[in-house]
Amino acid sequence: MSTTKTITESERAEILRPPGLRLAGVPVFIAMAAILVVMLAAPVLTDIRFYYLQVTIMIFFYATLGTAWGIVGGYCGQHSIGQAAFVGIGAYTSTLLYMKKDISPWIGLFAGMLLAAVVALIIGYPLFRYGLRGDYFALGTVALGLIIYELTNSFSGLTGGSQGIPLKYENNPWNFQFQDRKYYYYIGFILWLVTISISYRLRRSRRGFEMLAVRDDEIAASRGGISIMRAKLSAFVIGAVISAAAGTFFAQFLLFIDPGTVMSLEISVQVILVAVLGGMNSYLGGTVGAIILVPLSQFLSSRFTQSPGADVAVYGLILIFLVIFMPNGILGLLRKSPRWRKVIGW
Amino acid sequence: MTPSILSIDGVTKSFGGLDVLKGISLEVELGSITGIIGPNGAGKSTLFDIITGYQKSDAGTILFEGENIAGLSPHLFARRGLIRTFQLTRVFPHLTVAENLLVFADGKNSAGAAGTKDRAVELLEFVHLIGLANTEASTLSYGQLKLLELAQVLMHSPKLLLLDEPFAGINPGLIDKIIQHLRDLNKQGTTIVLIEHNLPMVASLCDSIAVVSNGIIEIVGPPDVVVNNPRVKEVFLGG
Repeated sequence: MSTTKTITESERAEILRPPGLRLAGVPVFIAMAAILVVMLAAPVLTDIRFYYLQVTIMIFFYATLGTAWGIVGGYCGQHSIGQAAFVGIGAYTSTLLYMKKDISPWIGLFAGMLLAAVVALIIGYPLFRYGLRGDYFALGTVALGLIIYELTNSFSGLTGGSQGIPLKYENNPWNFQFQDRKYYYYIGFILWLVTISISYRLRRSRRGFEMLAVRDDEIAASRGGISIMRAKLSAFVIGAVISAAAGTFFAQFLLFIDPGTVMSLEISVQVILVAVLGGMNSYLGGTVGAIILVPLSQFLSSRFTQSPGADVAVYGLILIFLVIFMPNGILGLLRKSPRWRKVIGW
Repeated sequence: MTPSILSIDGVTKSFGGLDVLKGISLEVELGSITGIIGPNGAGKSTLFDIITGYQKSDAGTILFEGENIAGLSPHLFARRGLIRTFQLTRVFPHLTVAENLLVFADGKNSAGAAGTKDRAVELLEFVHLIGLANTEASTLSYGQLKLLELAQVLMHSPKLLLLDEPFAGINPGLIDKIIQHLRDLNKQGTTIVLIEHNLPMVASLCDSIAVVSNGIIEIVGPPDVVVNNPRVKEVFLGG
């Protein structure tokens, strides 16, 4: 092939380099490692207040969900508004197995993930097969969330309906229950770290590339041999499985579940906000969004205890402001720098 | 006689009451370069859409390498070695220029010899986009997008390449290079069918030209025969 401009080997390597944290440079890399070490050590070495421990656990929970949603909505462009349904599936599966069959929630965790995968396949296949895109797909997932919510309410003999299910408590690690809340912190931390790792590896993989291509232009992707169905279903199932795992964690953390707590539309919306604010195209977006929104939400609700609803209104105003001025989220501000674009995996 | 890689027989397509294709039949010989010309709205791009599975024909058959390909999902065409470009470019706007090619590198998606990462760089150099490799594709001009799309499809080493107005909006200095590259590709075994409005260019590049007008093929033949046809002269060369 004839060429008119040749490039150096280092330029060639730079062009072909996949997204990755290494590009951030040693100082940033060390800083991130230090943050992880501090996160690991903080509950043990400091006398962290119960409230802050709870808030941090909620950050892990929403960062996990936001990152999982980022795979579906950010990587693959399928804006699911029913993600809480999978949280609920995970929560209810492990809880019912524990309460009715005395099966450890650790096993229930995997059962919930499996069931979420099956439901995602059963629901996702017709949605994608019949070409529901954009707003229509989003509406389809709203319907999914509502159906599962109402079914859970209706089968009260099994699920406890709107009364919910208080989990029997035994301070037994095998039952995923700990008197010391620090253990939930560490489990949440591991859940978040595994999710981030999955998202990171996916972004660097061929399958991840296929998702990005489908997000940008389905016709161009299929022209290049990419199966639209496979890319979308993969993203949907991965997002569902991670959300279900987070659901089990949430149920064990709260020791109580009802449809409003673990599968409400509010959770779905909050998860989307977390991902969008942080930057849904990045594997770090859900984390950045959760670090800001969860404490903000907690702070506002504690400030406006005398004026119910005012916290939500202020929260909404802040979000409108952020979305207007940062439509690509906080990490989206870095996307124009070739180096940082690769670091954050935009 | 050279065998056909693509056989189109009696293909029709209507949109509502509008008959866009009224029975198109065309044989594309293996290893040839075939030009399809015709006025706007003649049905050329619709024919490409039907060949590549983006639209279903109302009637007729299309055989690729002797096999009926009707009803195949569009992504399976690429795997069989049939790749196309679009009249309005289709790339991945939020990926970088390099990623637009890398998405097809080293994968099972590519037909024939799978694209490699090095090939992506070579192609970017070839289409003069190497300097923009790490730029988001959404920032490219129309001509640059055309070049990027061309480079994308060349990642695949296709058996049959369908190009829909590949030279529209491209710097004339680069057109000669692309034509030369298409000739090289053709010599390596890729059959090419291209839609183009520039009749002299088509005549110089193609082994055969089909003229589509009002949903039918009016004439098919070698460039000299087609160019000298009175009807073609009237429509394309102003008499």
